[in-house]
Amino acid sequence: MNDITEDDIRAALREDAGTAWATDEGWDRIRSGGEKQVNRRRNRFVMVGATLTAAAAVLAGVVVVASGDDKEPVVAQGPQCSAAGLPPTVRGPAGTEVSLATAIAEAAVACDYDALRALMADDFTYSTIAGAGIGYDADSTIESWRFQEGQGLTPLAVLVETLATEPFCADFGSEDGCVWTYMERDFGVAIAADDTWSAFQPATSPVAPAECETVGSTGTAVIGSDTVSHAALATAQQILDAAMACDYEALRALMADDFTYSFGDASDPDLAVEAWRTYGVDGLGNAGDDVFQALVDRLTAGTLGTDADGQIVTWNDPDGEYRIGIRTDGTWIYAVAGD
Amino acid sequence: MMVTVEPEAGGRLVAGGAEAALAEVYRTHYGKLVGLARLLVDQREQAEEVVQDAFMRTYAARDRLRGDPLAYVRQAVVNESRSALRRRRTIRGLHLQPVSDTASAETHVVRDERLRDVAAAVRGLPPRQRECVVLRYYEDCSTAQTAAALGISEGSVKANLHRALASLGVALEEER
Repeated sequence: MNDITEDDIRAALREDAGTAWATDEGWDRIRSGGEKQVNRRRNRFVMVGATLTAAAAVLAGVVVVASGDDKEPVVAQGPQCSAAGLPPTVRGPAGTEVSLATAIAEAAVACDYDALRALMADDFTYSTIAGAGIGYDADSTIESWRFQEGQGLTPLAVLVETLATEPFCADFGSEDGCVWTYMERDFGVAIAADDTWSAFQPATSPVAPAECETVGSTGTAVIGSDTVSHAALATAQQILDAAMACDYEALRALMADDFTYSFGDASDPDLAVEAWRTYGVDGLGNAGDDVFQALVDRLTAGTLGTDADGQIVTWNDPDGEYRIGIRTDGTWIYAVAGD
Repeated sequence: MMVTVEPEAGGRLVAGGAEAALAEVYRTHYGKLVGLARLLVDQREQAEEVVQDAFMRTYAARDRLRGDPLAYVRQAVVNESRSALRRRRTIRGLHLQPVSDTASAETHVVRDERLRDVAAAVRGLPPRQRECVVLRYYEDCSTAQTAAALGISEGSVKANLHRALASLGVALEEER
């Protein structure tokens, strides 16, 4: 290696970083801005509550079209998705991008997946941090959204709410476009003036510092190909979320009744959690063995496979030392060490 | 400086205590955090905005803070910096505006030629390696703190640092 030293790097970074000073005015802006965020979040909880009410209703086959504190909900048959009943309000300066965004919002509130698909670029990408979905092209995105909505999740409502935020728009002659960023939910929608809608993706948000190895990490379960069942993927993402939260109880809730935690051992989810807490990931080591990290590593960086004649999707350690198996119906059936 | 605040039951900071702790972090670490953002974003003039946003988000979530507030703010700065880069990458992908990956001339503050080369080489690193280097050598974070701020394992931090130092060596060799 060149004769660069750590002291060189420290000195270079120190100089390159420059200086800045805290001011009372700066702190006042932070407090004021922070309070506004809290208030916006409270308001959003109200909206999300209404959305969930609507979602529960549509799952029952009806849509709440109007309601008030002192009135009974008025229900009617209609489109069924989380965005149904939301106002398709799109902010931004009048122009092609806003026209397309409005068409997207209208298609979403109409629960019209075909119309949404028609508005997407073929290579559309979609992902969530904590959710259950990912799309590697337009068709798989639509499939994911249909699946999530069927599970009571709300991707279409989030889409509509994102488009209701104030966009950043830039105008450079023929190369213009807008980006809507829903920071509280960490989603962004970008639309170019040439009618290209190519992505609906998250940003990251602050999370708690580590209490275990994986807290604070973010990631999406590996999917690899369109042969993976969405039900298995949804469960994989839920396992991943629970592992990243270092939450044994959440992991326990996802396990099948005949869950196998290590090859050849008893099939019992309670025993699995107890063993993991006590003996670590392989049931043989110490409590310090990082169960959560092993799960995160397999799900985010493992290789995909199948088991039981394709009825189980597996996320495998490249060395074959640890694998996670989820039935195609979404049941988490094993996480085992060894082969 | 480590800010310590008496936690209530469950490990959370008492709301007033959290606000006071955040104010202390702001007062004592603001300059350093702006430096961190300047080293991570590709438009240096955006750094103060990034740090302000990071503090606002942490302030808004202050009733959920546990432990050292600086760790939260540092992580929020890293995340806000990534978001700023991602937003501009998205815009760049839409051909909205040209964005330089290097510092603008008016903000280039490194005087020594050798150090300037090192700083430029750090800016040329892939984002994850750059984050590891900046947190390790500018923020003086431990491997564990760097891992926590980036949401990756300590092993990944070590691997990224190893690759980064190798890349810096090559880049500086080519510079000669």
